[in-house]
Amino acid sequence: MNALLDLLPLPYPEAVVATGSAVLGFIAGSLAPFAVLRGRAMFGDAMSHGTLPGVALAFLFVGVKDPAVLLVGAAICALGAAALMIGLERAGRTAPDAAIGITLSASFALGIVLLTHIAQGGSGQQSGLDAYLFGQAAGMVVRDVWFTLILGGLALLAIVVFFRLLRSASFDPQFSAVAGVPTWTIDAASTALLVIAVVLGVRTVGAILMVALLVAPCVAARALTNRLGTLVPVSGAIGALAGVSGALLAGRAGLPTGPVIVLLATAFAAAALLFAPRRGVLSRAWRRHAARSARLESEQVSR
Amino acid sequence: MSEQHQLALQLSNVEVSYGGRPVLREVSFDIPTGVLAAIVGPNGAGKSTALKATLGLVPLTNGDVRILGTTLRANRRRVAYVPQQDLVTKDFPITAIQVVEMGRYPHRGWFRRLGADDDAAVAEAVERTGIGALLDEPLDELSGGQRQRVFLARALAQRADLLVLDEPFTAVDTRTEEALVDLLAELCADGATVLAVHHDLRTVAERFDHAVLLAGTVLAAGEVSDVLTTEALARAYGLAPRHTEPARAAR
Repeated sequence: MNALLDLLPLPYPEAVVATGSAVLGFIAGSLAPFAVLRGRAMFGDAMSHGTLPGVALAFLFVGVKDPAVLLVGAAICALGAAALMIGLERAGRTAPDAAIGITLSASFALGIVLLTHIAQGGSGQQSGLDAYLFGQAAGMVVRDVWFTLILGGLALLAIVVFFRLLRSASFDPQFSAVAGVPTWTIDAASTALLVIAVVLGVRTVGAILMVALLVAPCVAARALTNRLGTLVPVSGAIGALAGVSGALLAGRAGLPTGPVIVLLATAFAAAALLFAPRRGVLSRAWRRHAARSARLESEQVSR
Repeated sequence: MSEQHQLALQLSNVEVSYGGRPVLREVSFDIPTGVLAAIVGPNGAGKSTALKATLGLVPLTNGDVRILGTTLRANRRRVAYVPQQDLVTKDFPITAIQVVEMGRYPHRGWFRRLGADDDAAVAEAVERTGIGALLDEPLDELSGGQRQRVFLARALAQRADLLVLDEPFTAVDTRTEEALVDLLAELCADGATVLAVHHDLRTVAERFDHAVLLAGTVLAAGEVSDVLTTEALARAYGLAPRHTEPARAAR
């Protein structure tokens, strides 16, 4: 990978950050649609907030700031958050939005308490854990990029192999269930894809804002296409663009990475919603206008 | 041929509860092969639940379902399901033809390419439902009637022996409803069995062969003329019989 990085017209650390953020954006953008299109975007938000206590607990137990260890903690706690929400919905018979609200704020509160406790320990080791709050691209090393590429690549491969099944079951879970694929499997699969995206993204974009990198590229891509097979790569490409441009911009302007990436991704989504050729607000308004004038004209002719 | 074989569907003592509250109690009825059958009954009678119980989409707390003489598991390819429109993900990025092709997946599996016989089944379904002009349209830009044609085309493409439809004519214009009922009747004439939840009692009386009157449990089942009697309807709806169900409250 180093040979490739040397090809970029950027200083080496910036080349690593740019590549890593692009890979992350592509993976988050491609994995999220299977949850977002089913109305489960906020489920991902709560899972992303759930990574915070995971990062803190992993640090407390292991005592070193090794990203791999912290991410394992993040993944376990994100899955815990998912299990808590499903449990509240099924066993506690809580409405889904209430279950998400409870889980999101409780895990965030726990994360803040633990992070504050760690900061007061004052070992000096803990500095940098707050990057998981708002995200930080600086300090990304080649090993992080490889990790994102391999784990994310495996998830992408799974999407390609199971695409027909994922599409059918996300679109019409009952049909797929009659065909022999129980509904819980698609819930589990889309949750697993979300966990992977969230865990890979939380250090760069931050637990609070990660949801935007899941949702905004998908919203933008949905405005541009009517086929899932096109939407997934387009959403990935938009995520990659937001990731790379946001990370570079934030690095040079001395701004926090997560918010800048999120603002760019949101801007892309807004632009797509406005200007998309078929589904955009402007083109729809134009078609309505054209239809109305055509009608008026034909009425005048017939008179 | 045994008697079992002539029954497309056989429910015995089916019981379903949601969160401890019984929705269906002691539901038993038979649907013979080759009939156009309707499940009718008031709101909250458990009509959709009965269909879902039949197809294994909700767990039974008691009872037994036999499909085409055996179990659903042995017959997945031969059963086509058209779910209620609000159970399908809204605004999903999919085109009409992609929905119809889904009907072949139970035969072809989730990984293999569709072959020539799949293409033939899809083309025939498209032709019979009259959706040839809509194939590349995104599903969310179609009208209610067009959407329902697409979902019926998916069921036809499956070339199933038992078609199960939940409220197939909701949000569908009268002309489409008539065309779709004609099509369902043709399928029955060819030997398939159709079971639909339907709430327009007038259409049921005119067009369906067989009916199951449901209100938590089965009040009557059999030939339409025997089931839709004034007395049975009064029992089901708890008041003077009427020809259509009152406007459906928000689900």
